[in-house]
Amino acid sequence: MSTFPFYFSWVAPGTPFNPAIHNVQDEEILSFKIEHSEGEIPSLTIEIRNPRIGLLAPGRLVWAWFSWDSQASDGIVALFFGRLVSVPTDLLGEAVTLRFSAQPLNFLVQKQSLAPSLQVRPYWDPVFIDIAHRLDPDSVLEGYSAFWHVDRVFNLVSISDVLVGEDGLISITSSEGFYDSVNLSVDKPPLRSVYVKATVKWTQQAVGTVDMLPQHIQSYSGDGLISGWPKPLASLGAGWTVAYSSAYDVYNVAKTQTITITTSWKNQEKSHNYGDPMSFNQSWTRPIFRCPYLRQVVTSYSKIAIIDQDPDGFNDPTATTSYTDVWVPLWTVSTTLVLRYEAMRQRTEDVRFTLAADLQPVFTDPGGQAANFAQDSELIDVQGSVGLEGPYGTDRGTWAPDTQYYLYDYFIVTVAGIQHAYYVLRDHVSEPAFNEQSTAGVWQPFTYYGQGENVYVGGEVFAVLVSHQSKAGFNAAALDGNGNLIYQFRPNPFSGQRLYSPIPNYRGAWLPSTVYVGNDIVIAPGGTYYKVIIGHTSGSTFDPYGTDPTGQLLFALLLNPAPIGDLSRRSYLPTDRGLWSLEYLIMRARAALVSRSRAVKVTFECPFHLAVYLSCRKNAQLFDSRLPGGQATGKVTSYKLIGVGVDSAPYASITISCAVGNGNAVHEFDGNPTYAAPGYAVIGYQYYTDRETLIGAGDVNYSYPADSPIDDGLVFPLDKTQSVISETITTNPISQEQAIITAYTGSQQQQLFLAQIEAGISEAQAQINLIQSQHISQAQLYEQALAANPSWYELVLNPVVNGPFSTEYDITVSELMVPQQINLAAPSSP
Amino acid sequence: MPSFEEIVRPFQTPDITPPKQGTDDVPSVVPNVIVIAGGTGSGKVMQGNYQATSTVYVIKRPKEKTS
Repeated sequence: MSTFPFYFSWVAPGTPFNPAIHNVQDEEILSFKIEHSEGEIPSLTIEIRNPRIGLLAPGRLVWAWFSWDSQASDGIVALFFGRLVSVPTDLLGEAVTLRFSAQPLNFLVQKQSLAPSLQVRPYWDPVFIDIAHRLDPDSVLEGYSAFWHVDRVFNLVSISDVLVGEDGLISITSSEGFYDSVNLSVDKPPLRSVYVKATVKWTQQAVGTVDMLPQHIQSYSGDGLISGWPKPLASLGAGWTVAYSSAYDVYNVAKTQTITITTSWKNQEKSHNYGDPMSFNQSWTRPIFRCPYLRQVVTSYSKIAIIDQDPDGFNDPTATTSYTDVWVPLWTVSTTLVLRYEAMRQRTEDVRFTLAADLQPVFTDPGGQAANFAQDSELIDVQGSVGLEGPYGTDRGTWAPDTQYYLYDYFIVTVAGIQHAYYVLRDHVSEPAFNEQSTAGVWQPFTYYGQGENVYVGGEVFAVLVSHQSKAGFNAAALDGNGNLIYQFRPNPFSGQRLYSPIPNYRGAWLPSTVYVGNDIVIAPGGTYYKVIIGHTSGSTFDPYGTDPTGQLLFALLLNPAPIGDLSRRSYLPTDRGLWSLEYLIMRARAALVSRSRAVKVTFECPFHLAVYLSCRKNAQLFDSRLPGGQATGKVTSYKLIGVGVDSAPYASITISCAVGNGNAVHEFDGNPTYAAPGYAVIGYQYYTDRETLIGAGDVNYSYPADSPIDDGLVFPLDKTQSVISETITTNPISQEQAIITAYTGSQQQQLFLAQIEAGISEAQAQINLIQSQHISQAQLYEQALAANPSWYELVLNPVVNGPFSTEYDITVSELMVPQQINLAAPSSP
Repeated sequence: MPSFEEIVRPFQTPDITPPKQGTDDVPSVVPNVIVIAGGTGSGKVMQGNYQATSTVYVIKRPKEKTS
């Protein structure tokens, strides 16, 4: 047996180290080298005497423990656990070289299991990660100044920061480090600044109603107002529609009745004296109004009776009085108008800042030429989406009968064992059974119904003919105040505007043992939405990191709920979630700066026993008078544990990378309160300007962006003040009365009547002519006068489907404070 | 501020810079929504009439016959 104090034992996968069992040399070890570099998988290269067997033959063990006998209190120390990567290429020689990898078989699973703990503010933000990579564990590290790390003994996967070793520090004194092995080099120029330009986009959406409040409008031409009043469901353009409306003829002028009153009297005495009244007949026809009106006499005629006591005298014993008149009522129109807005505006926010690092001078400033910036500055240009992915609206789960649904609710309904999803297009209470062609909600008392809607009552569907608010009970023969039928039975219940619209691909809550196809959207048990990338039959529990047999992820993460939160928001970056995005961008820039701040590389060798517990999760400190300041501290970026045979002592070769920062600190600043003096209230009660917040490792701060987006100023939900630019009612009964009076031609007609008499036409015929022609003409003149003096309601609204709106934020960030792991300005000595 | 940063971030000031109009998207001009309800109407013009007739008793001399 060799006296080389190292052991090699073939084992089964997953076998834990047992120094009492694995202290064997299954192969004769000639030399070895364990190598581990930052971000890479540890490897063991071992030279053994050729065993002349098929090392990868079926049934052979390919995993091995490699250990070292410290011959001290540490006993037998495990150095490496890994699997044989391939058969040796030098099979014919007396010695063969085997290469082992410490990559665990569940490497991806371990990374995936770590990912959730790393997906935290401010280091991770799915906003800036495309949908295909949001669940990719490698995308997690973009905001971290860290690399994946695999432990060479336990094969555990973790991450390790590029500056701060999580597993502590080893110090190598000047007497321990091999004098001739120490080497210092400047790797490459440190990165001094990172310019970040990021863009986020979303669709601002909002739905709501604005009540224009009831109006009571008086006009002599109220019919025009009623006929022209906006109808329910009518589109007004630019995102506005009529939700509810009505125009009600308060005094039912349109259906005014005309009455005729006739009275007759005849003298029934048997003897009469001269001059006795003998008969009286009267006929009076007029409309019956309940409202004020204008009345004008158009024609009039009267003739007195003439009697003469002289029997030879002229007698005309009949007296006549007649007139015709025209009546013009003053309408009172009672109106309601409730408008619905469905805002949709594309929004963009750009954020820009430069993060500079506080570094020691390494090179002289080359002088501001563009070519020089390329080596000490970087650009990060990213785009993100903060809007909704997946269905818009409110998830209502599974459809249920007799349930109140609102516009843009969405639900699942299972028909013949297949799930279907639908949007709600109109507020309603659902019918007893689902039908995707349904047009009617269950009739409800004291509810507004618009003309054109359908209602469901007792298994039948009725059309709403008149916009109204329902009474306590349904009456199919109900009339409105003017006698109009409100409902009408619909023989075809599916005739009318539908209540539901299908949503393709949405499958609702994730279910076990269910077939899903690509592009399906499911809600995970935690409420997060996922998109199916690869069709599959689901298992018993939901696993967002589930893969197919080739390792492809089955799901992609959707941003739903949307990062913007309330989709009606005007701005994103000034919100708390927006600050998360901003902080993530700073972390991206910080990661680039920190990684490149390790400009100095120090390599040295030391005795083997000092490095047996070394890993790339540690810092190392080397003391050597030849170094600036006599020492250097850095992150272990690579190391080798080397044994070249029984005749040479094993040793370690270590490389550390040292940050060339100044070791300064940056502070937090609460800012200037805008409401009360500092101390009056706790932070968060009032808005602070110029606030500077530390983030991440506390080595950089930034100022909050001001929340004043550049847009049209509308803040949802809208009220009437915001919605309405102007509202005018143009109706002037007085001017209409004047127009009617002006149109009165009664006196002219009287002159025409007299002219006919003079022309020899009998009075009776002249009167008939007057009534038949001029009377009708007068009515037409009045109608024309009213038509020329219309009444109308004019409303000017702000558009809500407009944009796009774009706002740029220039963010102030402090310098990034970088630790001083080596002082390049300090003196050294030989 | 180092010279290169004055070139790289000339927009960045020590204080908070107020947001400004982005150059990526310029809002399109969408006209206001104008709703005009009502307008021409001819009203409700109705007609009426009145007629009264009365007679009184008179003695009418019989006409003499002419030869």
